[in-house]
Amino acid sequence: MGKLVYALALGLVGALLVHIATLFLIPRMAENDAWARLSRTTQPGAFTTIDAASDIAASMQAFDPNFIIAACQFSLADGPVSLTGSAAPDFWSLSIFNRQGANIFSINDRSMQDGALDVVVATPLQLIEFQKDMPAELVNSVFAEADVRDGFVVMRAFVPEVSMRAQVMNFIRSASCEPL
Amino acid sequence: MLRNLLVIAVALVIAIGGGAWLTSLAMNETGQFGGVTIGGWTAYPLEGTLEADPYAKARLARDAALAIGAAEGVTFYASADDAGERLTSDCDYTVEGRTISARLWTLHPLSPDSNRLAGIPDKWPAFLNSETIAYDADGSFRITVSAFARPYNWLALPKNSGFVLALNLYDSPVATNKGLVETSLPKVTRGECNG
Repeated sequence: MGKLVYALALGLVGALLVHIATLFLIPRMAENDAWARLSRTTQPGAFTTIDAASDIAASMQAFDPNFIIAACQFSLADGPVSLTGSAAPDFWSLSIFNRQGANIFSINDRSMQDGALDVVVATPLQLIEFQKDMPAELVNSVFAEADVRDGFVVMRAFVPEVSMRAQVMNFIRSASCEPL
Repeated sequence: MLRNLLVIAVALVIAIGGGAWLTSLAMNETGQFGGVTIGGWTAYPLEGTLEADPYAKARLARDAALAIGAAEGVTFYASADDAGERLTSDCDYTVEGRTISARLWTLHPLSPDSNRLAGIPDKWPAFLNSETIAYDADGSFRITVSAFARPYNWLALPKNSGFVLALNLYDSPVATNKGLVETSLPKVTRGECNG
């Protein structure tokens, strides 16, 4: 009897440990997280529009049908990444996510010179390099600090009415996401 | 010896089974923490950020949900009308309000578990935004949410379905100040029911 109680107590303490361990492991081990789902659809170096019917859109917070949403996966391992594009007809915004899918940086078109997309994503170390020697073509860029090796960008562009869709689509197509 | 093995086996089964069960229970059943409520609307500005709690982070990885950033905007959800009754497309609802502190806002229905809502016929207005709806002379607006065609501002619903309303505020001080800004959001009132 005493041994059974001992086993129960041991089991309960163990259950608590297993609970905590699995909870913290899930974000690292999840095989079908946002990164994996994006890898199946996006091309490296370019923005790919996310279809409202795709599995990533199904669960995306604020997958707003008033918007065209596009994503791009990037790596900062070989240097900063530059996001550039034309101006959009109306509101747009973007967020940078780490490999685990947590939102680490966000910005909207009001922060841009002329409303055109011009963001440099860099690690804190790469940013220090820029501070020493700022290239002339980057003086108007917005610098996004991302302390990650791999990450992805999700951009949303507002479509006020159906007739504007083609114009907004042109903005999405103009956007690139390439190593600097 | 055999008894000792039995004790170890029992402890292990409870530990592994119980631990896994606890985790799945916690992920599926716990509500989200850190919600900001204004009127009948609730937003979760910390969800999907580095400050989120471990349960929210685990859910995030499993659901692959991509949170909207603070500089982008914030999404508020309403699952009940102003009398506290759950929203159902058996009834009409009026969403009534005045200026919302955001550069732009949009309104669309979601399924009760906040996913895409199927069953709204093509060409029906399944989503609205602040730039294209009609306003009264004093700047206030009124939207009828209904599974049947309605005059003036109409947001369509599928028939016989529960739903949740998502109100997205873009470039809004409500998002960047994590709910510290005083603002009023539209009121959701139940109208006629066809049930």
